[in-house]
Amino acid sequence: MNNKWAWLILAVIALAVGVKISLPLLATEAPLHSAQLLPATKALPEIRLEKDKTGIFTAENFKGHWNLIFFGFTNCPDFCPLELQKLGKLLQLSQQTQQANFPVQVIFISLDPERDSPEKINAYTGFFHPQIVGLSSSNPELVKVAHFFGSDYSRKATKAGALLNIPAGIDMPDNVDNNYQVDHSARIYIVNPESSYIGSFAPPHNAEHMWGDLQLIMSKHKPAVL
Amino acid sequence: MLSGKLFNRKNFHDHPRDDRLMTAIKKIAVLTAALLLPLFCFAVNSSAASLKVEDAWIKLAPPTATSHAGYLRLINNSKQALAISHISATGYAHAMLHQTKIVKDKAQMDHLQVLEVPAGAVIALTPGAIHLMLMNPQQPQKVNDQVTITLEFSDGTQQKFVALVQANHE
Repeated sequence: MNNKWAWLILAVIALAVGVKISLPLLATEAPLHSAQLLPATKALPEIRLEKDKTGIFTAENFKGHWNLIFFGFTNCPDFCPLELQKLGKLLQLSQQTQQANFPVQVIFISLDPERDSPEKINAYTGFFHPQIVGLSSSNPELVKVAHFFGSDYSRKATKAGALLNIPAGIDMPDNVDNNYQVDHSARIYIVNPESSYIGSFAPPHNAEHMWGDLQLIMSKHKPAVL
Repeated sequence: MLSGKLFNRKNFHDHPRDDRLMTAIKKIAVLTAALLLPLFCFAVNSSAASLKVEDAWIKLAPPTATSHAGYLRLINNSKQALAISHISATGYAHAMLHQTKIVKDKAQMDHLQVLEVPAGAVIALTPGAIHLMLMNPQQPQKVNDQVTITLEFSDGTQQKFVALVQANHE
């Protein structure tokens, strides 16, 4: 009789230990590939970006979408086309997947307002996917938006043979050689449907991996009443 | 003295035997020069001859793009390092060698004054790394367009190859 009770107690203890060990393992999720989430979300400030001659893009336009933001410039022959091609592919993947979540919105912000007109930006982004939103603004507004995301940029230009470093937010001086470069963030920033900045994808980027990460993030998202 | 005899012009031509010797020396000199000439020419062009260019392509860019990027693989089969100091491309105002680098999350593009290809080395110019920067295209770009690119080496020799415009290159 005593033995029977001893075995029963032992079995209960074993079961409790087993449950304690296995539950966290069962709850383990697939790790994120390249998405890095902020410890706390950050609501977008008041911003005014130019979509085209008449359209102004503000924080309100981020609402109701999963937004992926990439900073660059259209004279960038290597890195920007590579990244926009991946973002176009991600947009395609998201549109092929049936989901009850908010749609993905890819936004390209040009940091080169002197050379990139809204029309030029839209022709550039449309090459990679017709629904990529191309934006720009004045230098002071651009630096405000870039710095909000913790993103930095700078430009190197030559004027009469002298090398000039033009920091973020400053207008390009007159009469510089038009073939200047813009050094910019290599990250892709994520803004949730409540227009809060929640994290970013660190380079190198892969469309399938980013889409996988974004689906995981979406699955954990509790939509606020908009 | 032998030296006196040989280098005294008058004495030299005074003896028929010495004339025959002089003719023989001249023939040897001409023959040697004839044999060495192709070797000299080969040396001048050795850079171009020993660099193999493979998989050269230019990425199809948006129609508004004022710069295009070219990619290829360079194989140096020689026993000497080769240095590419200048490039040019038909249909473009300027061409340069550039390198994209990610430094502290920032994408930056550096101009390479010289690209050295060490002896026996293979250097791949790929998207997001070293690439040809082709600026100010004179005509709109189309898939399958052929662009002749000229590499100029530090020794002054040149090598030409053709790169094909492609949307993607797997």
